Amino acid sequence: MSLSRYAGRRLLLLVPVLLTISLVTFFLSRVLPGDPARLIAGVNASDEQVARLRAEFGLDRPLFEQYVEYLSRVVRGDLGTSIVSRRSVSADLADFFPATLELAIAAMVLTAVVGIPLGVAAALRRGGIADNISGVVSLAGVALPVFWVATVGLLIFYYKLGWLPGSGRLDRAMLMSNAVPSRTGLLVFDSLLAGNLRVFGNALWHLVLPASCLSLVTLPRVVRITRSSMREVLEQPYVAAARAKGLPERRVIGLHALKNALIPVLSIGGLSFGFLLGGSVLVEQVFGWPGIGKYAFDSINYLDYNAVLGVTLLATVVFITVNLLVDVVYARLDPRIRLR
Amino acid sequence: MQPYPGSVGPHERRIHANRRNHRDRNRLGMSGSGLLEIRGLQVQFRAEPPATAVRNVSLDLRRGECVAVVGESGSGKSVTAMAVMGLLPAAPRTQVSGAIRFEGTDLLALDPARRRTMCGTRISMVFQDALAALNPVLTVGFQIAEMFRVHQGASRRSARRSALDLLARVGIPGPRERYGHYPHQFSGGMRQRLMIAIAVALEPDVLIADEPTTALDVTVQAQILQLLADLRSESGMALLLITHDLAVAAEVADRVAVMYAGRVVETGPVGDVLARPAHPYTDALLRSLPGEATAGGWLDTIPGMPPPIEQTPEGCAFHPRCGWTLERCHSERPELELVSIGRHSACHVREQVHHGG
Repeated sequence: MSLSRYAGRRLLLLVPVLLTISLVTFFLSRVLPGDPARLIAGVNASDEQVARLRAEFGLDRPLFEQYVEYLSRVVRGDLGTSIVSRRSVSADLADFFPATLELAIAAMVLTAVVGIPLGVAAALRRGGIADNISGVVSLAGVALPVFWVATVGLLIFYYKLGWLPGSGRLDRAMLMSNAVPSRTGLLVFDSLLAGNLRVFGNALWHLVLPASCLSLVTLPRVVRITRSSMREVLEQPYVAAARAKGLPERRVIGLHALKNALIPVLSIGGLSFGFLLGGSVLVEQVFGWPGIGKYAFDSINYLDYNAVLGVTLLATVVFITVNLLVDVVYARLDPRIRLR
Repeated sequence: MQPYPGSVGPHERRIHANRRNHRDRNRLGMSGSGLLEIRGLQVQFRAEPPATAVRNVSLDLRRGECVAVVGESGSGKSVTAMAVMGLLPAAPRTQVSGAIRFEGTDLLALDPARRRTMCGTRISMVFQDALAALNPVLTVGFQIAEMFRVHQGASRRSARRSALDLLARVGIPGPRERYGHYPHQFSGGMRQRLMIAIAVALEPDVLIADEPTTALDVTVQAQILQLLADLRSESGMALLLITHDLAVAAEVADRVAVMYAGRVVETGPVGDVLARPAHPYTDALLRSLPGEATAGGWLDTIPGMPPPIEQTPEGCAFHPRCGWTLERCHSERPELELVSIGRHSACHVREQVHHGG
């Protein structure tokens, strides 16, 4: 089957999934205790004011009617208005999502750049230094909660040493100056596109601490799976055969073995990436990162129905898209896999 | 067999160049001595107790010659091949002693990088299970062309051209279409041809084939053996054929070395050895082959099992399964001794077996 047909079919699958997710999220958020109209209007508002707000948001109508109306708007691309920000939810998502995406990509790159070589080195020499380090990393990833690491990291590198910035995506002055036009919303790419190395450097500098903390979620998994997969591959006859071909050991390991060993790493990494996108709430909270995690956190606090639903739907789309991408790359990497 | 395509490609030219080389070497008087000389090879794996897979094995392979190493699984024949290729796990997991001389250079004393380069270029190997030995995620074209890219620094284009030539030469139909295919898209016989293509790519002097036809059905087996014979007559490379199949050995080999429990127990010209074995083990192997003499009746079998390598019997390792056993066979291990010109046997009763068998 051709790649585009496969991708098309997989994307079509999004429709029932999104319907289900929206249904569950919609009704779950409504049965939660609390009254958003009361929250917005404030404690001192009169009942009359609250009722007016409720009518304005359509909260006074039957639930099912609300849901159908919501769906019909979503189909037209309108995710509704955020109760808190009073802006369209789509605009909010467009503002906040790129920050999260940038953070997740940075964490993923860090994971791959550190995790794969570490896993390979650990597999090559059992009981060697790399093997021990990878053991510690695996343990640390399980044992240390991310918010704790984030807080301690902030304390050391920002507060005590002052090496790294404490919050945000850019220095305040730079942020205000609007130095680079937003094309992708990813500051690192936008600044490169604009050729502004000062902003580029600053954006990277702000990424270091949050991305490192976030990668603590994915790094242990990637190290562990790389190590075990590489160990298995090294026992395979085709590795011996590659040596018998007289290829330099670097090529035997780095090409013949690694390309096989990466297949399971890729699927774990892909799943983790979806997790990073959804699971960065705590890290964004600690580092004041203006991302979707922080937005979701705030909207749940305020029972901002439309915002919560918008975030959930976006997360679903992203997760499924990432999985689709992983499958496609997977098939590229392993020719024995046929996309069905 | 697929004839080599008409035009004189870079390959054929290289073959001629190689032949010239061979002649030059001959003039220098290097052909009389072995091309590959294995002397007192000993391979021990770290285990409790230590497992000695190869014991004091000496073998000679002359230029252009085919020697078959025959024996049951566990007799040490594959480990010998691995030792020559340097594919055994590194010390301390494995202890290798003795000498493996290639054109007079001891491979065991060579530094690892130079030894590695010698593999693939001068000595190469065909593995038993081609599906497992070909990389599943690289195209077969890439895996062949890589030999020229890495060892000769060939450009992408010329490596591709050489690889296409090779594919045709080993009898893969439609090389152009097949170039970008992956190993799993080929049949067993075709995969073995691919392995052979990789192994002979750089016109090595020695090809080691470890059970190259075991995983194949009989007709394909014959084709592969024919291909090996053709390649050998074209390029004059020597073949060290590892097999458990005496019929295969009889068909292609000039000389044969029979191994049992890690030792060579009999060597000699293949016709002589098979016609008049001088070791009871060879004799028993021959009797267990189906042939005209036994048609309609039961085949002979060798009683018992080959000994596990960590507990080889005292004396002659074969004595518990032997029909000729004397008292001394239990305690005194026979060394390889001359039986007739070019024939050796490690047996106390070799003369009787040789004449009486």
